[in-house]
Amino acid sequence: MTRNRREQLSEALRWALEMTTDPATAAADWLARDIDPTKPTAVELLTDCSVTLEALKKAKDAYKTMRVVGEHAADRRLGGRLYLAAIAAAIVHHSERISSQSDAALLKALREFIRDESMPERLRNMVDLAYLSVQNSARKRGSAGDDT
Amino acid sequence: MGHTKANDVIALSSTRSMRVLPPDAGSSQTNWTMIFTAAGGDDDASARAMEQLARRYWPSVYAYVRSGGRDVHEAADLTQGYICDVMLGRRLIQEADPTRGRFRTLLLRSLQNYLRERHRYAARKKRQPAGAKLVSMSDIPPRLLGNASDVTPETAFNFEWSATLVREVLEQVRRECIADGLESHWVVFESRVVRPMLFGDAPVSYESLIGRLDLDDRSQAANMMITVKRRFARALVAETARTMSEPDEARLEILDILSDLERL
Repeated sequence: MTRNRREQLSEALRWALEMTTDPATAAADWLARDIDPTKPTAVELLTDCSVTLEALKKAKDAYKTMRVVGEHAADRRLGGRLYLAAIAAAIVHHSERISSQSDAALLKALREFIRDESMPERLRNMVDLAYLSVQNSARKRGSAGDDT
Repeated sequence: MGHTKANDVIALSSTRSMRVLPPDAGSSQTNWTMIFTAAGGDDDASARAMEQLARRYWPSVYAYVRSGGRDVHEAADLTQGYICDVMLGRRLIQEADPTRGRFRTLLLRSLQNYLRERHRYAARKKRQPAGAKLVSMSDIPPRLLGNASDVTPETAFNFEWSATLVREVLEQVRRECIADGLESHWVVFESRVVRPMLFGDAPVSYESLIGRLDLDDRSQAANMMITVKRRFARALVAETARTMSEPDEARLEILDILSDLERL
């Protein structure tokens, strides 16, 4: 019995435990690990400023698909939230817009996210920063945000 | 004793191919149901249930015996003796009581008692059923022929217990995916997760899978993988629950095995 085989078997058992805790979060975390194996959760992937822009684009696409094809309503809802969080992370950590949404539409979605208390606080804080950034950009450009 | 039934059990399967167990070795019955079916008499259903029990649990039994320091031949003989005399010989069935806890614990305890008895009476003569041999050297996968002393017997038992469970569940999920028209989903999961996990293969790239399976993009492939991973995780919990008297104990059982594996 090698350490590697034990670790592989342990990982399979941990998937089962994660499933019993929160299936939607488990699916989101597995997608995060698939994109960056050093990030065990979606929250880690989306709040770590060292994560590359390329990885955040992959995350955005993966969670966008989850929003559509997720098995249950909870999966699709979480997919939608994390899709937006990936866009927010690119703004906060790389000063890049990886979405073609208008300022107004993006600000509205970000504000809904911030108010969603079911989302982890670390994500909401990061999304809050993105909201301020988009709002400032919109004001400089003279485009109207949803709260102006 | 149960040697007549034991003699019906032949050629245990190897675990080195993706198709780990033959279809009839599946998990349609709970362990307790299998035990009580096995105890039911001399009909075909009883014989099949006994065969299922033997197939499912001999790797764990062998791993325990081997890790106790026996050589491969002695370990194979003791494993055969235990399965013939205790598991198929109905002593285990007589002791089995779903209200008294986990099947894994019962099996382990009865194995320990059997080995103590064998040691006490120094019964040296080899057990050799008149018919087909239950555990032959060629049946034992190479992974089980390794060093006997690197882990405790209990950990070796738990490892093989859960490895057998994982292999059975993978085969079950594979069959379900094909039946549900999710063959491409299974291919992605197998290529990215199963083969790396079981055989140490490098994960097949998404680019290659997208081309081979005619998928839209990486995110579609990743979500297909997650769909099957979730089915697998769900089936693993359900199958673990089958060895419990209370299904809600499955999570505790998995935690228990996991903590033992991670203690090393």
